[in-house]
Amino acid sequence: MEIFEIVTYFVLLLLVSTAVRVVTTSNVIHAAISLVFTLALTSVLFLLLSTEFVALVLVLVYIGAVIVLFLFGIMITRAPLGKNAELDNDKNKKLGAAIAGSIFFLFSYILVNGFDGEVIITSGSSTELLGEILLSRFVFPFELVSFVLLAALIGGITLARKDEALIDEDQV
Amino acid sequence: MILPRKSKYYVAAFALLGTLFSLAPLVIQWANYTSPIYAFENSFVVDKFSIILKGLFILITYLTFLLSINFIESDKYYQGEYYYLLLSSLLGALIVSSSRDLLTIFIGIELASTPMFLLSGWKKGDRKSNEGAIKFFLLGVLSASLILYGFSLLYGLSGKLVFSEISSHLLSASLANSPVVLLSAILVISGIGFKISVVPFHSWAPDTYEGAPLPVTAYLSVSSKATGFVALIILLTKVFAGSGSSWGIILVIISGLTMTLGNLVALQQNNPVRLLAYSSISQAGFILAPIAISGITGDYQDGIFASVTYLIIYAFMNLGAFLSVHLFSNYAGSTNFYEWGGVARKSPLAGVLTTVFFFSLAGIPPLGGWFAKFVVFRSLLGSANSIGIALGVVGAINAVIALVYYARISKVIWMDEPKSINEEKIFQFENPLKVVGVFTVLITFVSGIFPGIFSYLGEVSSIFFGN
Repeated sequence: MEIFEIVTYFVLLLLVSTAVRVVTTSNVIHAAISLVFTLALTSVLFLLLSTEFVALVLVLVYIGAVIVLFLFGIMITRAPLGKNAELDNDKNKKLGAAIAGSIFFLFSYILVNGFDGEVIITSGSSTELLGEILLSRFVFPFELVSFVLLAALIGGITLARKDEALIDEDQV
Repeated sequence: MILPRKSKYYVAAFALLGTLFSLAPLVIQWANYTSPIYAFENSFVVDKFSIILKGLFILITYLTFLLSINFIESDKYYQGEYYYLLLSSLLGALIVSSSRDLLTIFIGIELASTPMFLLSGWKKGDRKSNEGAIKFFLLGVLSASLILYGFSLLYGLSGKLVFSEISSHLLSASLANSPVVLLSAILVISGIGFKISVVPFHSWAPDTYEGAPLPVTAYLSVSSKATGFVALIILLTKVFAGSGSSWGIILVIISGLTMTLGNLVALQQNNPVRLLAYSSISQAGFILAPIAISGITGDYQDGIFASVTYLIIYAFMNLGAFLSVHLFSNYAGSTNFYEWGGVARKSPLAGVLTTVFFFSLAGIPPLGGWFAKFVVFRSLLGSANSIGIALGVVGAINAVIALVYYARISKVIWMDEPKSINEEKIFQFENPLKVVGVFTVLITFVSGIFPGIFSYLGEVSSIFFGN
């Protein structure tokens, strides 16, 4: 077994264990921190596949921005810190585990048989090339994404805004 | 955002005009049409199929705007943002009907549904609205991830994004019935199943429909559903065409379950919005049936024709049904339609419209719903396939069950003794709403009496779609 494969399997094992930790812990902060590790390991995985741009984006956007926002959100909204018993739902634990397990085995059986160690893409992606095709071949979906983001932004702000603003405007 | 509140009216007028003008390029494209035009390396196409669907989406959005004007002004809603979000959703729907690659269609689906998560929570102070929006959002995100998982498997197998290249790769490598492709098809069907709210992915629909502002609910039940169906039709016939016998069976089961469960639950509802939610679930089963059978028989043109025809007629009559619910629940001030006794006497026009829409939904000739059901049954029974005939029988039984609850509303508003009628209270039927009512009723009648028009459109779209 090559050193590369050993590293990959090690990273994958860690990745699965931190991902499980995200959903099983009953402490919101622990879940967020576990998510940081999950994303960091995912970005390592992308580095191993020599797609350095995706790895960088994961670190910058997800770990750098999204998770930090999560943590700020938890702190600002006075959500209960520490262990929260409500997050545990013992009633459906067994059923959930059974369904998740069966889906896991079904998917892994199909995927292992379907791809079977076949190497599909041999070269990594260069950041330069990615930037070029993003603004030529894929410029249309690229522009569309900006509409999705703008809609989410405007709607999110409107829903989160305090309603007094509406009343004030009326009186003006 | 910039305008003072008093002149927010201009936003609505601008949105209405803009939507109407956007029909003009479609008409020009239709008139100058020679052959499908491809752009962005075959990932975007303008053909007759997409032009018809774009026209449908634009008209639906136009009517939704008309429905919204008074509604949004009457309560304290944010208006400018409301119109922007609906227009973004329209853009997503337009993209979906033209897209021919995995990336564009996924972004189109998301652009069509993201604004709807937000709009369904537009009644900010209302607990039911919040609950419905959260449920819709969580399940919507889950469905997006399922669709994406399915797409990633396809991309992993073929290394291609454009549909025609993927399907030819699957055929040449004889992968069309391999487990990975089937898994991908199942994931895509379940992901889009949430968007079109078919059983067993329907659980969010009644709560979200009940909580959302009424015009948003009307839009959700018509345009969002149509977007999902268009995406499903494109994906199944353009990408998974070779594995039709496998997804056909799955869709037949889903379709039968959807019709039956939607109808049986709708029978017990007393809230008209929840009733329409379950009725639209069961109608989704009817729209799905011809595609499901076409997967088994391989006659995609007939399946697409029947489904698209049903979809177009359903869109207008269902919008009309929501209009009548809006009018009467506003007047009676009650969300229990058993308390609407005799309200139709107060406004015979609204009463007649309501009766027309609900009877059309039930499929009574000569209304449009009759022709829609006829096309579906012709496609099911004409397939000369025992599964198709069995599904046809299930559909026929359901059409009869549905008549019970559709007719019940008409009976209550015309024949029941008035309970809560306040003689001084004026029945409000604003002009924009009248336009919606007259327009949808016209289409309902015309499509029922002269079905030739619709069959022409459907036939054209399915022939060109076959290429």
